[in-house]
Amino acid sequence: MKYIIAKYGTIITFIVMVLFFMVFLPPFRSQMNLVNILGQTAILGLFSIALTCPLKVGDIDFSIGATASLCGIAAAMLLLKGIDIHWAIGISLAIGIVIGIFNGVLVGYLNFDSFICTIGTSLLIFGIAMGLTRGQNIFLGSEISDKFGLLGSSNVRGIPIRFLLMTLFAIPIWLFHAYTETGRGIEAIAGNATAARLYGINVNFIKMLSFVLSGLCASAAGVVITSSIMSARAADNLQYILGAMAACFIGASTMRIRQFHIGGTILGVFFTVVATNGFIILMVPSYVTKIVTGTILLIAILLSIVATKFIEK
Amino acid sequence: MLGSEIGPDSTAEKNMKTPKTIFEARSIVKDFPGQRVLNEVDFDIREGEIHALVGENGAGKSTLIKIFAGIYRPDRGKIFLNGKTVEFSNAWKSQQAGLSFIHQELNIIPHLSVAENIFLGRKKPRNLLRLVTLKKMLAAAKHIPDAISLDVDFRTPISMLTVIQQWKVVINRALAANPRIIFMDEPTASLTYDEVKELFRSIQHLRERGTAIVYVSHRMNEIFEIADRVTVLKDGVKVETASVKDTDMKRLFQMMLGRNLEEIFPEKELPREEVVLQLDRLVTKKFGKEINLTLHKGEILGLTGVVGSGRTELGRSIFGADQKLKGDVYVFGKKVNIQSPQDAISQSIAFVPEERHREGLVLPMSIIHNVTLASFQKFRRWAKFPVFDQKREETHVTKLLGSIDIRSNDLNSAATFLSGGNQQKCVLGKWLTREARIFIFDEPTRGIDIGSRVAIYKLIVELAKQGSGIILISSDLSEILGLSHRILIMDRGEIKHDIPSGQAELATIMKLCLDFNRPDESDESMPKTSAQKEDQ
Repeated sequence: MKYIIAKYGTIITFIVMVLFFMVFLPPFRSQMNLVNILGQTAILGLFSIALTCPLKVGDIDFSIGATASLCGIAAAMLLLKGIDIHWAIGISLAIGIVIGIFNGVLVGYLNFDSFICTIGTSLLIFGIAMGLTRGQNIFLGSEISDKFGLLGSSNVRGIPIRFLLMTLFAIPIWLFHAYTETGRGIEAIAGNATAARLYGINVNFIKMLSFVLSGLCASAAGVVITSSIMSARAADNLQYILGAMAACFIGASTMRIRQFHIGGTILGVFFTVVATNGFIILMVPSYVTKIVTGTILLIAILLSIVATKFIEK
Repeated sequence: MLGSEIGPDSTAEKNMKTPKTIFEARSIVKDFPGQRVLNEVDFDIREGEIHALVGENGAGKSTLIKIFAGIYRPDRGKIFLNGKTVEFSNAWKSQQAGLSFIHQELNIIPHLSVAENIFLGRKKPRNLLRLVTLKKMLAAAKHIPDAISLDVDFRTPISMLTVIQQWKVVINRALAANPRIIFMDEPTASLTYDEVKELFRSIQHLRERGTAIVYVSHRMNEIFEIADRVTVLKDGVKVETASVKDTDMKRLFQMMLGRNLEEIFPEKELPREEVVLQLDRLVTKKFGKEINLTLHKGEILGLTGVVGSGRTELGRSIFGADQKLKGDVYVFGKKVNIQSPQDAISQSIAFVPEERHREGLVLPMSIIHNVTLASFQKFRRWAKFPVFDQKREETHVTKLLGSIDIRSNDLNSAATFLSGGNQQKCVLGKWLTREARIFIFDEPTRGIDIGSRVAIYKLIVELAKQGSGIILISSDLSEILGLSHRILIMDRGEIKHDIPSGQAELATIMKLCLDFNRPDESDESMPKTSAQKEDQ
């Protein structure tokens, strides 16, 4: 029984919460709102996947917020220069990958502490973004919005494209983690990096790879943000990082305790988005939503500790 | 067996008065989740005696000590101090009662001065302004009653001192609290022969002062040299408390292991001609000394020496886990370049590390995933694509672990939940899966119960029979003697002795391990310590 609570507690809570909103909040169950929720999971989802990858190998990447911002700006600037939309997006993602390699080399090969290191790179990237935009918002005019804007705001058969985009990242990364040899290596590093190294696993490379994935997902998040608001500006996107953190920790107290995994993270994303959505419908003032997000983060960490205790007994 | 109250024995003569029991623990029971670590253990200490506490790892020694130290609370049982019941609900109470503990790690803060270390965790002397100053501490540190003389500047950082000097500082620190009983946990593990002698002199000094010593050790010869009585624990039960005069080493081993030495080590075959591993003037980073070594097919090479003699470093360097400075390594006659564990593994070299939990296993990972960790390619679903065939993986692991007798009903559960012995078998299973041909074992049976030990010995000998070459690094000399074809003794990064095991004897090896001030050709001379023992 305890075991079930520890493993499935977050899932049960999520279902109860959804049912509660469904029954007591008529606006919540409207089709428009449900589609809206799906859309809202996209950006936070991408950030959360970005955060999950390094967390899986015991590192953290605070630079995802700034990376997203820089990549969003890059996409906007390239589009304004009249570059083809595919190229613009491709180059933005490539920038994310380069940032990922940079972080990955520092942490994976030069043994920088990821906590401090990525705060540093975050500042660095933020600074570059500031410089590029001179602190101004870059607005995308209507001449580009047709195609690019669809990415962030339109639906296919009722499903938001950005949500589909998020799953396009989530599913391959999940498969990669769960079924490949490198994925198994990641699992080993998460459990015991010293041992993993002794068994011939290339710890340095795998750590770098995790940061590359992180940078890639963050840049995707940045592109989606830019396309959905049709503007870009330098930002650290701290609120997203915190939300993603909450999602990851909710994930780490689901099914596989004290382990970060994409499935759990996605549940965490839905958890936070649905909770926030519900509160907004309840007309709770916005500062309360902030308090709620903070509380969810703390509860998520607490949950993972409690769940570990349960499992160990 | 001796009763605890009456005891007209040898210490009486030295102490001039009848030794009275000053400390007694009766029927101590301690349960950890899922197992009973101490079962009805009685233990008593007499005034001014040196009482050895021996037993295998996991026998309950440290749990018992921790109960006395107030770190654990017993589930049942009583502790008496001078006939009065006491309860050590925390470490402070135990200290107040006059008990003092010196742990193997010494609990010193390396960059702090000797004086500051002496006042660690205790009330510090203050000056007029109620401030703690080094000056005051220096003065107070020099005036500990009955302190062991220590010829060092108390202002130097303690890390600059030799290990034996550090021990003396720590003993003085204990003395500053004016204890009745001092518990020492494996004091000699990292000391050289001369330093052991020096420590023994300090211990004698304490005894003369009337302080009782509880001496936890693995080294049998030391017990016979210094202790008055010895208590043997096995699997959480007290086997016996005996006067050291009335027992001998063989009997003590028997009590500790619960069986005869002969039953533990399986028959082995002679090694073959073919050389599997050769080191030519290999230089490890830490010691910078040249090492030559030849390992034959089917040979078990015992590698021993004191802690810090460079055994582990040698093993790790061969495996590529530590850096090599220069020298050549030949595997099956072919020169190879091993820079990382990956390289070593691809040369069919396996390494079973000393610290199972820290290095041997990924504890939160499932047993299956642990076993296949070094051999991903074997379980590919498609030859060219790095995706697992999890069915095949599971079948393999189930079969393998069945053959080496791991009992676990759920191979998908985390490796944490296995017992120490089974965890070690799991580490071995990894290398069996990898089909390694050269095995380096570093302390393979540390902290493992005797049943699993016998099983691991069997496996090691079986591997040798099948033609693997094995380097067995161990400080357990019975293990070295019982398994090896050849014994190498290391000292400060060099191989000092190379002895065929047929000619070796426990006492000789022990002596050679500890004593590196002697010239190399001293193999024949009988060590004094064991000679003393034998004439009793």
